[in-house]
Amino acid sequence: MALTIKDNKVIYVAPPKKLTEKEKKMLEDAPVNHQLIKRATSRKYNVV
Amino acid sequence: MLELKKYTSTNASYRLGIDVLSTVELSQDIEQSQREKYFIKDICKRVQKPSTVLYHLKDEEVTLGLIALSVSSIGEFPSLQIDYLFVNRTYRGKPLEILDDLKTSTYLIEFAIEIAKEIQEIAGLRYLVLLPDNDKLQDVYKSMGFSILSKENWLYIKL
Repeated sequence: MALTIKDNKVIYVAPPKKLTEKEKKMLEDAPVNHQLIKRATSRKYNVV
Repeated sequence: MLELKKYTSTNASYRLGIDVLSTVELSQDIEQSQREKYFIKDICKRVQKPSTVLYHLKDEEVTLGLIALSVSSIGEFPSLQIDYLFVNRTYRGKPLEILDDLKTSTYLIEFAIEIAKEIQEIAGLRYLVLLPDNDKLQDVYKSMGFSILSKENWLYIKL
C-alpha cells in the first residue's frame, strides 16, 4: 500500500527520501531471505 | 485457468476502474468498502498515466485479487513498491490449492518478488517495499517476511 485517504481524497504516500544512519544501516545489514526468494522465483506465473 | 492479467498505460482504457470494480467483492463494512473503491479507482487512473502497473489475478474469470506495482526508491536505494494489494472478500485468509496452497495475498507478494528479481537483473534493485494500511496488516506482512524500517511504518524485503 502506498495510498491513504485524507479529506475524502486518495493521497499517494511515497517512501521516505531521507533515511537516518540507523535506517540505512538496517537496510544494508538486512539478511536476504533466500528461501522466500527461491520459492517466489521458482514458480511459473501466467502473466497475460 | 489461473492468470495474472497485466494492465499498463498501453492497454488500460478509461473504463478500467469501472471494469475492475465490476469483478470484485469489496468488504462488507461500508466504510472499508468505500476505501477499497476509492483505492481501486485511484490505482486504475495511475495505470493510465503510466506510473503504476496493475496485475489482476483471476481463476476462470473469477477475481482472486489485485496488486499494483511501481518503481520507487527508499532513501537512495532503488526499490519496487507495492502501491496497492487487494484480495477479493470471499478469498481473504484462505489458502487455495490453485495458488500452491498459499493465501492470495502471499501469492501476490511472491509474484511481486519475482518481478522485483527480474528488474534487479536488468536495472538493479535493492528492496521490495510497502506501507501497510493499518497495524493489523503490518503484522500480516511481517509474517510474510517483511521487516519494519521506519517510524512511518514502511516495510521492506531485501532482494
